[in-house]
Amino acid sequence: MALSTQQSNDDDQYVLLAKLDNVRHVSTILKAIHFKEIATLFASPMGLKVTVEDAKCVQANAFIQESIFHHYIIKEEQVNFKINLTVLLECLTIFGSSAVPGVSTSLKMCYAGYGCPLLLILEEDGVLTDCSIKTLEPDEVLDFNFLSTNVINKIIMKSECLKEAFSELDMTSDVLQILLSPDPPYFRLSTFGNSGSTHSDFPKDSDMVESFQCTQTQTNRYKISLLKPSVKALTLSARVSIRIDNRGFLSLQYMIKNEDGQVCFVEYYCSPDEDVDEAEH
Amino acid sequence: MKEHEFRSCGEIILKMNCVIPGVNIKVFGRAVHSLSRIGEELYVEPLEHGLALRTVNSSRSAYACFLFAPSFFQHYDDGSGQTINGSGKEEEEGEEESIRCKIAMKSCLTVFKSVYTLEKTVERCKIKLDMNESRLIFQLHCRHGIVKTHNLAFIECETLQAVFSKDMCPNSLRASARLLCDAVQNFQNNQEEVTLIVKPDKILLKNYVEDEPDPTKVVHTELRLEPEEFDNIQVGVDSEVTFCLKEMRAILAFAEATNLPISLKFETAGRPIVFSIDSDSAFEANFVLATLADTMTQQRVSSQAESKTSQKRKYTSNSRPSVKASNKSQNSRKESDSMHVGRANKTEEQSARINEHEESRRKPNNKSPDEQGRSNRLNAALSELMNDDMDDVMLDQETREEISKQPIPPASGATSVSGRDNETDRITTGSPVPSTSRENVSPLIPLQSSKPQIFNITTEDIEMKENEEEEEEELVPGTPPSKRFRSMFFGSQASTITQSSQKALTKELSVLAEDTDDEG
Amino acid sequence: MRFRGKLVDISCIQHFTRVLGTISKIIKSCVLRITPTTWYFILSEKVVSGGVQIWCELPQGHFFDEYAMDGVSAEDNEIYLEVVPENLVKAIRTAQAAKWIKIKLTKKHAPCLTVEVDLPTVSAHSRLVVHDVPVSVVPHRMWPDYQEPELPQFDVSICMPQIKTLRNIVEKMKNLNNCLTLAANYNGELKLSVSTDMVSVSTHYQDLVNPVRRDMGSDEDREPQAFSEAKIDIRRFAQFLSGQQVIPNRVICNIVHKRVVHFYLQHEDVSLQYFMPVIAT
Repeated sequence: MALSTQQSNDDDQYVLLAKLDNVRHVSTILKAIHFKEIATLFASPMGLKVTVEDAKCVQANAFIQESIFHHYIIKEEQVNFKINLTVLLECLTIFGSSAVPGVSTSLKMCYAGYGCPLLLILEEDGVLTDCSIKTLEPDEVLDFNFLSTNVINKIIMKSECLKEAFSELDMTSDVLQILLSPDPPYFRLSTFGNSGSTHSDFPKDSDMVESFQCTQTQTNRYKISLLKPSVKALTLSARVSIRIDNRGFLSLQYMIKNEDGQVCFVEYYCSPDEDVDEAEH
Repeated sequence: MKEHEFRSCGEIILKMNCVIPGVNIKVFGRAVHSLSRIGEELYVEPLEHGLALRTVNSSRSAYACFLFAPSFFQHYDDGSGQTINGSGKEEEEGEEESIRCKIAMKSCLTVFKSVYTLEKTVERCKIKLDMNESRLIFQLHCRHGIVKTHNLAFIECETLQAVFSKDMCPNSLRASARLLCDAVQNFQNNQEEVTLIVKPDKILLKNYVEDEPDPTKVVHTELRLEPEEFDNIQVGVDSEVTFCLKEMRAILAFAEATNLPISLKFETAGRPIVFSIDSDSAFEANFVLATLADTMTQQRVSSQAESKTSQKRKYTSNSRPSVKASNKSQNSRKESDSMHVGRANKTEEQSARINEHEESRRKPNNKSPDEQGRSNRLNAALSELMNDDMDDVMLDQETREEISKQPIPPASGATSVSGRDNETDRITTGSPVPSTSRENVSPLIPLQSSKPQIFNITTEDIEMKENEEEEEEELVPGTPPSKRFRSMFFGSQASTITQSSQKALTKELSVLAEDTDDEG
Repeated sequence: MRFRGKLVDISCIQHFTRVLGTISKIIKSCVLRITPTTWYFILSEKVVSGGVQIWCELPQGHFFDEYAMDGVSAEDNEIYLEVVPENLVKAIRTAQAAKWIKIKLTKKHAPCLTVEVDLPTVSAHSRLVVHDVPVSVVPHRMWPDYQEPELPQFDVSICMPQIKTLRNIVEKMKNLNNCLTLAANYNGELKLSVSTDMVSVSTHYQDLVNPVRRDMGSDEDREPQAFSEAKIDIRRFAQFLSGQQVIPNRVICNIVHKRVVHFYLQHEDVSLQYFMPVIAT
């Protein structure tokens, strides 16, 4: 077709060119971190990393490794830009949000370099949609400096038992308190809202808990409004790892399987809430 | 059973301690959902014969009560055996000490938010009262060893009870939830009120159309039900009662989910209608809704009064709380207290009847020792008089006269103004008063309209959004338009009541109503 | 003036409900013209409702089992009523399993179209539900306002693609901008595009059918690939698409370049014409 040969000549101009058969592999993961309008995209030979931040306290990263794409070309070591994630998601899901059995939408993503728009070409059943989205100057993103060696407590569990607890968090509470301890109650999520306090206790020997490594009792509080958006990632994931380091910084890592069984990761970092001193009951 | 399942700073004094087995949690959750569609505060009272959950709407024109018998629970301890720590409450005459408290309905709803999930995951639910911290504790023991504890702040309060005598009602219908749900489906979701018309040979249900804005622009719907469709039907007096459909839907939702039949007991316009559900010995629910009183119906009542004087008289004389009067009622069931709820129009006949009510109310309730039966147990629980005439006491003479001159009478049957002066003494000694709404006019809370779903919702979002929307819909208590349905328990707020006298009323109320403590 | 009709066949009742449902989604209030052969739903408010015109024809024999009417006079044996379609829909919607539906012109609290429904019940009884839908009579002198709209000479006619995907796409585009450009040519191509500072999205359909025009003008010299386009309000278009509960055999889109957008839906014997207002550029 005339159209495709023309394209392959044009393709040379792009510093980043990625293609995949099922756009949902990208859109689903990006939805998991969509709690702010603007995201920063970092592309490297390893794949794509998309970062969203809020209030200098919370950061979410979505990793889409290059093996997810059937065609992935990058001509520089790193390609970064900021983009409106809301608009990007609308474009990626232009043919509809829900999966239709037997129908798959392909994606071709092109970026020609600094100052150029991000081009998306989606195709479903012979219908083509072209999108051109303005890119913005990339800013520095936070480095939480979260090191495995500094992790005090860690728990890996099946996501399904946490989903309910997270979706039903009392949002009238300012904070979400996380207690991890080698002693009972082992793992406790608490909120302190208008009507009173709520605690969800997960014992270490529960069959929902895959791994429990806690050396000392830690109680930390995080702003609930910052952590609540992570429920999206939780809902998509099969397993989650919760780690807290010696500063009380929280790391949540979600393992998400896509429709083809490929695994992608989303992680959230959150710094503890400075304002509160003592724990309530 | 471990009493202390979490660390505490001091000694925990617990009153009430009961455990709901997994199989009953769904019912309990649905009861809470149903109550949440009526009122915004949940009154909790553990009694010897069961745990009572009650609520009333802000305009006091709808009251609901669920009573869960000890057999509903895996373990039931109403806490009467334990002492109270420093609350200094005086014992009521002839009553055992019990704690009565209320919590925000929203908080309780949070515990039982998703009944579907509860059913799947919760193995048992413990309910305890922590007097030290003023917390009502719901502890859900779930699968996989997960425990969810909700410590809800409560305020101690007096009993919220309506006194009504459903067994005295001349009209009684009993139907499956399915029948009523099907019938009600023919009305639009935003339909506020419906009118139920009963005659011995036919039963009609129609939407109630207000005079404003324009009755000619509104669709009028009417449907007919055959007597044979009901499990049981007794029409003692032809009547036409108008009540809030939204509140009725709250009851129907519960009945449909639990697949239990509903009894409707009522008499004439202005007198409350009682919807009851009972499940053998496990639990009972009663919803008392005010009905509109209008001139047309009043005329009918008056003319009926002439033709059915004997019947009316029977009713009147049966209005005394004495149990022995029960044999005069149409039902064979034992009598309970007279109906005091609502406010009637001021016809002389009714005033006479009302005065009798007043007299009888001042008598202490006594039950014959051989009283049996579930409904009697419920009535016993509800037998305490509610000092619902606060407003009337406050009502100044001027307003009372205004009311009696009313061409359009205010809604919902009830107690007279004159009788209330006698109540003053009781009131000032601090006898029970349910906490009042400070609002002059209860706001119309719009129900979430059923708009078609927007198409850009993802499957993931659907899961959450549906829950949200479902929750939202259920969270909204159906508050009927205030100006029509006057309080059944409080005095009549005549629609022409002046703003200033209304404010005076509220102000006085605020003095005598219990303190709302700082939420602990 | 009298009217009395009865629908008995379940599929007729359901079809009737769907057609009314479609109309109720597009317009709030309109004129119902009843003739011995046809029910017409007409909206002809050129300026008032921003240029929307609706003309829907329902041949009565297709729906009614019994049909009797007496018009305003012997010469003008027709009835014109102002109705709110939504009210009719709500009344009829509960009747999807009805044994029969009767529609009568009555005078109750106001002139009404009374809908009587005979519903089956669990027991042997039938449940009779009566809905009095208020209407107002349109006087004879105003009848000329409600004539069938004249069709202009169109620049292009094209059969629209499947409603389902179109609906999804338009819903997404709605989130990006208020204004959509609809373009078509005689090469079977249809384009929908939105454009803002931030993003441009364009969906391209190919291999669509161009129906033969009613009056073939002398446009032999026009290139088939030349697009004729017009700007329309996305929300209105989305509403129109979402309201199509009847899956029509054909939806034809006719465009007069930058001036007129006209949709023609046909399903069995029912036809609906919709002039959608064009945003001037």
